[in-house]
Amino acid sequence: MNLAGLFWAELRREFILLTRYPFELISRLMWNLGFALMIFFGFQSVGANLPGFEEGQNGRLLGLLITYIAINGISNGVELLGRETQTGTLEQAALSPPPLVTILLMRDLASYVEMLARFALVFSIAIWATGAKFYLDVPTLALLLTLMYLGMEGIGLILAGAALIYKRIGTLAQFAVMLVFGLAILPLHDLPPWMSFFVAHFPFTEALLLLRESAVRGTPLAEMLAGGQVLSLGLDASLFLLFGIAAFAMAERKARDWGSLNQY
Amino acid sequence: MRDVSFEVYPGQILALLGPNGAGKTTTLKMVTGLLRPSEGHILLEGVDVATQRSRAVRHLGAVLEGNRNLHWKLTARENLRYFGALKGVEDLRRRCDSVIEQLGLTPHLKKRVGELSRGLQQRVAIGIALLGVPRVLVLDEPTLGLDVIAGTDFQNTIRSIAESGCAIVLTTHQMEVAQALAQRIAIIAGGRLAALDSLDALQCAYRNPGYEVMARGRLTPVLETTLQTVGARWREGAGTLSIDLPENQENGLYDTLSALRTEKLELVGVRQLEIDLEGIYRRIVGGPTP
Repeated sequence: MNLAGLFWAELRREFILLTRYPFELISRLMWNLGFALMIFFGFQSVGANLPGFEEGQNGRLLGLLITYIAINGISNGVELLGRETQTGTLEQAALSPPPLVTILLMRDLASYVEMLARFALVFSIAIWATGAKFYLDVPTLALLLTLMYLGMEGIGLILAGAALIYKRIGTLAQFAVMLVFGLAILPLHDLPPWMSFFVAHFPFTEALLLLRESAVRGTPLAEMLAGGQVLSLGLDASLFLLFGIAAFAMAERKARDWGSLNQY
Repeated sequence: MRDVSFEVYPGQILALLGPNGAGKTTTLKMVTGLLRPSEGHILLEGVDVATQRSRAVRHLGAVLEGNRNLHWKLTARENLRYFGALKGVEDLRRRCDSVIEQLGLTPHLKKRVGELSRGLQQRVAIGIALLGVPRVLVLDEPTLGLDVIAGTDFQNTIRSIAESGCAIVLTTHQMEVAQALAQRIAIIAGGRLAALDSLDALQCAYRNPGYEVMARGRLTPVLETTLQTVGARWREGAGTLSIDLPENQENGLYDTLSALRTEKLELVGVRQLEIDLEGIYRRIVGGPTP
């Protein structure tokens, strides 16, 4: 199976659709930017005592970016699946030799690359507009964000698998997003030990802390690697992703057994 | 589905017929790997679809929901390239060019699929199915919603694909399409394969032993009584009489001919009534004759 070919096909499709509707693209960029500035200037009290937010204004801006990416990681797959089931293109994809999970994963990764490019632009403008100061170690940021996204993708695949079987899972998806967000902003030291262990090993929480270290405090990647936090994020993200892939593959098998793959 | 078993050979077109809910689409879903059968095997070029789906579908092209299987915001070529990449088609660019030319899509490449006519959209969907040079092509109601010209055009396309050696399985509710295209007909009713053979063989097996008798002259009371006795139906024209004798009425034919002779009507001709595919279908599936 040619994973690179699949990824490029998805990225190409993403790019074509993005450039074919320039008005929509500009609107989306303006919405992203407007929301970032609104958060930064308007809701300063919201971020108090939250991981990633408590470093003040810079943390808020960074936290917004990470939260947005994390939420996309969770909800992207479900949205794509729902949309393509309705249009009928999911069936065409399901007729292809690669398992649906591989196609969905490559599609989500292509969507992630597009989102990252969009946010790089929005973030640059927001930094310029707000005068925020960041240590922009791009490779480190990209590595940490990608690891976090892959972890969140795992949750997204579990939800997408549920969507294959139960079809309408919009409320569950919203609940999952809220839960993830809620877990991530809980202060670790106030939680029961079992819960704090889980929250501490949640890729979103781990990535928030590491990204704050890198972008706000300027801690180099080597130092974080030596501390083992990056390895921990990598392992946890891989675990979430593998679990998500297994869950989706199981759901796909069930859907093929029941013939419900293309039903909506 | 129970006891459904059939083979399709290279270059052959098999039409799956049956009423709504009979199991035609379910059969196609099983053939394409979208639905795993609880029992039995489906082999594509000797590869089991249920256990080796990924390998088996490399030999398969399918259009199950026609234009719904396409990305409407992309052009025909973009659709072909995208789905070709998903299928892992080698030398994709050249293959796309070849399919575009084969299906006559060249003049329509600049438009998004959503802007194309239904017939052209259907051709794009077929193009995607053909990208991997499939040995088996599965089409679910391929001419549904097409006008007469687009439908005929599409039938020619399907015929030429079969001539290239591809085995084709299609479902349709349009008897004339099945009659025009298929070398073999399978009729599914109630989840079972009720008939499977060539049209000629089915016509032979389900032949209508009834007769049509044509005569010149007017209906007389004696003749009317005879016709009523043998259960015939008749139509009177301008000085002509056309009589349909029901099946299993061999003696009725002799009685009718005798009555015609007695009443001095001129016999124009006698022919055995032929049964068409729709007639066979109605006899197998049930339902009133038109």
